[in-house]
Amino acid sequence: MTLSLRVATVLTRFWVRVYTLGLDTEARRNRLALLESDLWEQTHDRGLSSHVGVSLSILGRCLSGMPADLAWRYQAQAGVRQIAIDSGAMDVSATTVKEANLAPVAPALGGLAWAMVAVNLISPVPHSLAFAGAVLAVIALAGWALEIRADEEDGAGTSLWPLTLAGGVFSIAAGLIVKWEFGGLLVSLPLALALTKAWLAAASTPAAVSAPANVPVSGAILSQRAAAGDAIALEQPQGRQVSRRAFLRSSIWVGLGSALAAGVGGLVDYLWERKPSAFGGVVVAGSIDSFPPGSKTHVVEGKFWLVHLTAEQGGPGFLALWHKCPHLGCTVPWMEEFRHKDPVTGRATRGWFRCPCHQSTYNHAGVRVFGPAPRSMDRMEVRIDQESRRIEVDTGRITRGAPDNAAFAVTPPQ
Amino acid sequence: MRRKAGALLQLEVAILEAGADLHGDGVDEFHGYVLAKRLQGLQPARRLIGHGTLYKALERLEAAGLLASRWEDPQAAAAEGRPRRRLYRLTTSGRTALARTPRTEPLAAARRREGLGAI
Repeated sequence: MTLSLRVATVLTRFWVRVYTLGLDTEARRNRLALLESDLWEQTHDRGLSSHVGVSLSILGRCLSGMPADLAWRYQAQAGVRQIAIDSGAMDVSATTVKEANLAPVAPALGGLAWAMVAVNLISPVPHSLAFAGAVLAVIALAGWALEIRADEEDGAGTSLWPLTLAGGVFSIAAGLIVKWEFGGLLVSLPLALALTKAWLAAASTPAAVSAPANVPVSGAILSQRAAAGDAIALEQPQGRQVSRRAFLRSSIWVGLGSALAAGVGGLVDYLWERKPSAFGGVVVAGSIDSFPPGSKTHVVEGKFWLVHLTAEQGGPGFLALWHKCPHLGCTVPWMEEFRHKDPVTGRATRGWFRCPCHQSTYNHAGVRVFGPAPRSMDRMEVRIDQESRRIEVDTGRITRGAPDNAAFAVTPPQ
Repeated sequence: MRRKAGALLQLEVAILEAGADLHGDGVDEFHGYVLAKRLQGLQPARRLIGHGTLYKALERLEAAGLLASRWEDPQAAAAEGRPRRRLYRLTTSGRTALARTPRTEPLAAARRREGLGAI
């Protein structure tokens, strides 16, 4: 036996042992013997010449049968399937698949959805839509898995769960792009409402509903609806239980609706005109008292250094210096420990703005003393609100830097 | 896709067809791999059917009474130096069901392509 054949058969045998693990010995032994025979027949099939081809075929059969294997295992374990046949008419119609009652799950999922709504309202984070989308995607995955497990067609056929999953993924992508703090509500609120509805419907069911033939009424109407193609009608004689099918169906529409809403919401958010609040607009640096004389504070949001000049430094007063170096645009840091000769006094002192790119050096007021920069650091307009004592910097009004920067320092009110 | 009342899945029909086909060739009892090879000719996709899909469908058909199966005599298998085969055969119900099932178009087309007649 060649290496490729050995690998294929070993892997297939391994897989059979994995999915039959823990089943009762009879079922397990039968399955192993079936596969053993099949593998032997295929490897000894003289019609096929290439060993590699046979190996690939075995691996492919193993892979493509995996969903069915898992479904088989579930059924073998739960022992839920019974097929009754009417031998005369040869109907396979009476196939009964265990219908899971989702009533216990609905409150949990509903609670989760309401928690999502609450979390979004209490702490609105910029990318909430992405988080809600992630939850939707997880729910869709779980629903998909449930459906595959419940279906006896081995996962063949059309399901709307993949679409719901796509909706969740789409919401994640949209949420990552748009920073919309309440965007998550687009997904979580409809989800919560729908799940609550299912929950209430389940709660209003009398406890004795599981007893069969509890609802003898309206049978005629139901069979009429059933004949008209309403699959849910067939399940209604069970009472007002929320069937898995009804639940799955409604949650599919909820998922699709949410995804659509998320998409439209993202578009509206994108097109919404808004005032610049960060760089380009007015940035509130904070209260005067939080900037002691001589301090340099980097306000990253507004891209400036707020400098409180002392009298010796040319103040007293506040200057907002754009942190962008006028030379080639690097961000200029304040270097507290850096020593440089002050051209005015002729003495070396500590503490300079110094660009890391080409060593352009500026004093407390952003006045250039060394390096390739063509001018001093640029200034932004500083306003001090007399009542609230807050410092506001208009980052949209920038003046080119000059050696007399310090003369423009805004004096704080006494 | 939910099973419609009384309807057989395409795969199940194909298995019954392949079984009837083998019967026509004088093979009354067939094992899984032979069936898989015969199915390959009947199905639009030309690859061999997955192990899980095949044996689960066979189990389903057997539970519905359309197929019957037994383990091969261990002596016979040992004589040929191979593992025991699980041998399946169509039941009367299986034949009736197949006769009652309208041929699905892809299968009929595949049979024509293969030069096979109606069963």
